[in-house]
Order: sequence, then C-alpha cells, then structure tokens
Amino acid sequence: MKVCRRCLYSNLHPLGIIIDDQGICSGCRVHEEKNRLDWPKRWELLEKLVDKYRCRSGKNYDCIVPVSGARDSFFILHTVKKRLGLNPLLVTYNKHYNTAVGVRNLCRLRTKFDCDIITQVVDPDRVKRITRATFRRWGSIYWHCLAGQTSFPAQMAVKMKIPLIIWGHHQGLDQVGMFSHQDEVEMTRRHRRNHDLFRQEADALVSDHDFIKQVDVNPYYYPQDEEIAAVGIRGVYLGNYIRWDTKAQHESMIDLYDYEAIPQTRTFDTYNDVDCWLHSDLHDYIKWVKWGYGRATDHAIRELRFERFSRNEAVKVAKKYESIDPTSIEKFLEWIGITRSGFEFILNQHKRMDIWAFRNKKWQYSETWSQAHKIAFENQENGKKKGKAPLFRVRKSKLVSDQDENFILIGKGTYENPKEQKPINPLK
Amino acid sequence: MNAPRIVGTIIVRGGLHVQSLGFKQYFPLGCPVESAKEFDRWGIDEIALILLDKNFKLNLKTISEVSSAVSVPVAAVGGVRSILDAKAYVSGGADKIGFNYSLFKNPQMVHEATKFFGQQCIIASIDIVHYKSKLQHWNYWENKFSQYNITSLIDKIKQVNVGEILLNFPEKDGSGTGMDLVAIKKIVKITQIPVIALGGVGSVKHIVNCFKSANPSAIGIGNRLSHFEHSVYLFKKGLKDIGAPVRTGVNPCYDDSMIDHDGRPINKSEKELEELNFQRIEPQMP
Repeated sequence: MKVCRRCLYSNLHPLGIIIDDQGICSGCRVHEEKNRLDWPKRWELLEKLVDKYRCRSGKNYDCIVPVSGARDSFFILHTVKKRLGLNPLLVTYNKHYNTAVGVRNLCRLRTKFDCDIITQVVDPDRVKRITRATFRRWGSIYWHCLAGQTSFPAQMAVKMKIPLIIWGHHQGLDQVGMFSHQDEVEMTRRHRRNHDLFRQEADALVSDHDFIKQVDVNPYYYPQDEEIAAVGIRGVYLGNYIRWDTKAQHESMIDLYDYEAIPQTRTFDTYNDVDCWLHSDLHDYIKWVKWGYGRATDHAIRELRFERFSRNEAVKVAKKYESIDPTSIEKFLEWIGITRSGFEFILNQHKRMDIWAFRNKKWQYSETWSQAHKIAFENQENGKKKGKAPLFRVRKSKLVSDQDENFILIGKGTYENPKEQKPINPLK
Repeated sequence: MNAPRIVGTIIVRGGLHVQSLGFKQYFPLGCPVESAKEFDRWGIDEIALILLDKNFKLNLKTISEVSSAVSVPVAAVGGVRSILDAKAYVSGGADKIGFNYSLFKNPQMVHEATKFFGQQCIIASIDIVHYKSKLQHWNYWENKFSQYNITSLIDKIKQVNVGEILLNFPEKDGSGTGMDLVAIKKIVKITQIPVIALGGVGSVKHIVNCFKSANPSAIGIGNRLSHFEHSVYLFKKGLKDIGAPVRTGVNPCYDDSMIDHDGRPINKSEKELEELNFQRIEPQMP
C-alpha cells in the first residue's frame, strides 16, 4: 500500500490509482492540467462539438441534461442553456431519499431555466427489494441511484432520438486521473459497469431469494449497443472543456439562481449532495467502513489540489469528519425494514481487511494503512496553499412546502429566496 | 492483400488496466476483464494483455477471466521467466505468450518454449527508440539503450524462432499522434516474421497510414479504445469507408452512420433521426 505525497489518496482507492516514481498519484498529475491547459481554446472545441447537434427545425430537443437539483446541476444547465444556447431536455432519476432542500432546488431549477423535465420514479417497493439485495451482496445502499442515474438518461436518449447527453465532470478523471482532459473521454458502458455497478449488469440481481424478477430491474438496463449506434448517442463531459472547480461554480450559481446550501453530516462541503438524506450521511459512513475514508477526505483533497488547503489541514479536516456517526440511519432502517444489528452484521462483511484490523475489541486502521500514511506524511510535498481557509456558504429557505423530517418521494417545492446564514469554516 | 488484424492492447499495472503514456506515466482505467469484454463485443480481432510491473507475473485469474469472457485469441505478454510460467499462462487460457526480458537473459528457454508450444504461440515483445537518427533496442527493465541495433536484434529474434514480433515504441506510446512508420516499415522489410505494431494510434488515419506504408500483419490500439463507446466498431467502420481492408463480420451497428477524423460518430440528420421513430431497432447477430 502506498499513499500519495501530495494528496491523501492511497492506491487502494476503489476506482484504482497509480502512484508514480515521485510518489505523486495520477489524480494529482491530471489535476496539474487544470493550470496548464488553454481553457478558452478547449471551450471553442466544445462549442464546435455541440453546434452540430443543434436541432435547427426546433422539432426536437438539442440535448439531454441529466440533473438531480444538486451537485453542479445548476452550473451544467447554466452552461448548456445560457452559454451554449442549447434547448435541453432535463431528465432526473428519483433517488427516493430526497430532502426538502433538494426538492426546493429542483423546483428552482425547473422554474428559473424554463426547461422541460422528465422524472423517473421507480416503484418504492421494487427499489426496497433491490436495495436489500445490493446491500447484502455488495454492501451498497446507493446501487439503484447510480444505476438509475446512469441508465435513465441513455434510455431517454434512445426513446426520444436525442443523440447528445451532456454530463458535468467525469468522477474518475477528477478524483484518480483516469483520463487526461485532452482524451475527451465520453460516457461508456464499461465505466458504468466497472465503477458504478460493481462489475455487474442489472441482470445479476434477478433472483428468487431476493424476490427480484426480470421486470423489476428493467429501469436499470443500459440501452442495447444497436440502439446506441442507431441514434448515435454520445455522452460528453463538460469537465473536459471547462476548468472544473465545483466550489467556485456553486458560489456563482448561488448568486445567480438562489441555490440553497445546507450543512451536511459527514463533510464540510455545503453545496454537493444536499438533495439526499443519505449521501453525505449513511452512504458515506458505509464508504468509510468499507474503504477507510469518506466524502470529507474527497472534498479535502479537492480543496487541497486547488491550493485552498495545506496537506496538514486536509488531514485534520478529514479526521474531524470521518468518525461522525450518521444521523439518518434510523430513517433508512425503517424505510428498508431491517434491524440495526442486521445492518451492522452485513456491513462488517464488506470491510476491506487490508485497511481495517480488529484489535483491542474494536476496528482500527491496519498496520499497513497506518504505515503507508505515516511514510507519505513524513515525505509530504510542500503545499502551495494561498490565502485564508475557504468558507462554505449556508442558505436555507424559510417557506416550507414539504415535510422536512423524512425521505420525500415526490415533493412540490418552492423557489422563494433563501436566507443567508453563517458560513462554515472547515478548519474551525 | 491480407487485412491486418486489429489488436486491442490492455496494459496491466498493479492489477489494473491502465493508460500508458510514454512508458512513464500511467492512468488507471479499471478492471482488465471489463475492458476485454467490451473490446470483444465491439469486434476486436485479438486481445493482448501486457503486464508492465517489473518482477511480477500476470495474475492467472485475470488471464483466465479474460480468456473465458472473450471469443478472440488472447496474448499474454510479460512476467514469463520460465517454461513453468509459460505453462501456467497457457493453462490459464492464454493463446500466445510474449517474452521480452527472457529473450535477452534466457534465449535458450524461449527457444525451448517455441518447441514445446509451437512457434505460433510465442511472441517476441521488443521496444524500439530512435537514438542518434538510428533505431536502437530499448532495455525496459534497466531503462536504457541496449547494445542491439535493429539488424542484430532481428538476428537474435530469428535465432529463437518466435512466431510473431510485438513492436512497441516508447516515444510514441500513448501520444495518439500517429505511428512510427519509418521504423515499422524498416523492420517489416528485414524480417519475415509477422509483426504486430503498437504505439501512437489516435485516429483511423493513423491505422490506414501504417497499413499502407508499412503493412504489418497486425496493428495494436491501446488507450484510444477506452476513450469512447464502441471504439472498435467505429475504427473498423472508418477503415471500411475508405476502402482499406478490414476484418468485418462483426455486428454492423454503424453501417448507416458517418464518423469524424477522430473515429467518433457524427450526428445523423434531423430527418434520419425522425425516421428512426418508425423503425424497429433490433439486436443483430454477428
């Protein structure tokens, strides 16, 4: 096991990471491109690319934009609609764990951008059966969200004959440097199956044991090769053409469109994933139990790479948030119908045993893990942190249109102007 | 004129399929088996698993998973130090085995391997660089030039009687700017052994240029195949469109589409897309 000298990722990252001879990981290497590439020129490439996809007659949409209401949705739509001047069709997969803030943000998005939106709401009973199965088999309560978010836009592209899908950034590229920005990577079935779906297609879930039939997993199929080829579907990532900085982007969207941002349980970032009860909460806790790190580490590394944190600050912040207990576990257990002890039992079976060790009657980081982090800490690269610690804005709407205590399946939402509150300083 | 094979190269490092840039930098792509499955479905002619870790062997599980998941020949290159290793690779499902280090350190063993498995099973994997306007063999395990120039190298390979040569060019690796045509041409000319040329393919034009000027028996594509969906279909379609010989017979998915210089599909006209609403899109049998 090795840990990068610049960021905190180890080569046991679930997406895979390569640490080079100088001890720097591929993610940091690709991030260097953000300061090196000629971004105005790359923007021109994007303009040229999308120009071919404009539906001149106006009979159909120009492109599909998958949105969730949070996580750069506003920025993507702002870029697509306002800067590129396209006429997008929005598609959204209902993740069932919606928060009132998420519902309000999505309402704001629909209203302020004047776009058509198609939502897929899979039968909750079916989602629960699938989630029980995926949690038992792969230790994931988010499988249906990832599968749905990636298959539904492609299915709609096939059905509506809209060949262009526009995504935000490529997670693999941003975190672990899977591709260079210049590769202009596009959406592929391989990446989806390999990294989002535990190397299995939806068929793998069909079983009598879990009461899942073929028809239950239909919403989670990626379209056939022939369908993708006939329509000529391409999924392009804006992150290849824009210098992607999610913090700065969210802050400009707050000013432009009143985006709501709230503090989250297990990370200091108040902008991403505010639409989901579980993402920065139980889902992230599961990630920490399995892989030894959580969203706070991801976000701290992101800030570190943008030179807003020093390495020591990133370590401190990651440590502060990683041991926080999830607050919405009871909600989830009630929703899915399993007991706390059953949950813990299954979860512990998915622990990575090269990261964790059971010592002194509790789970602790393994020797190899501690050793690797120690070596990286001793040899750490001098960071280039500039200025003060970054602040994360908090703003919440007062007007309540939906209940705010539990998962919302379908909410109404409002778009009144939220009230600015005291921002979060991750270092305090 | 024989159509060249298109070989999908999967570079494996630390158990991961990686993008390799000039033998120096690597980007992690994911599980090699997943990539192999996709290449196979997209109609690749052959798959080469190339292990890049020094002093390691390919994971036998990876070889057997890849070879049982795909329907094309699988070549496993790297990490073979003895006949026993070679036997393990072959029983794991590899159709061909590539030698690089042993070719120079233990040529006797490679020669025995060609006798044991047959010539068709053994590949000599060599890396070539330009040095003072000459072609020189690159010694990857010590990161320096070796004493062999191109003629002495080919003589050496002929002695061990291998079935194929896998040529790679560290300077071109992962650049996507076209293949080293001069070198490939020269080597193909002086040897009768079939050559698989690698390194630098970024577009359909690069493949055509290489085939027209150098005519190797196979052309390998690495990084580019993972950058967009259906890359193999599209590259083959591009070759077919300009009348270059190509092994088809795979799913003719993109028959009525156009592709750009990069190999990516060009959008259909509004009329064509509208007409698709009234057509049935069926899975086609190869």
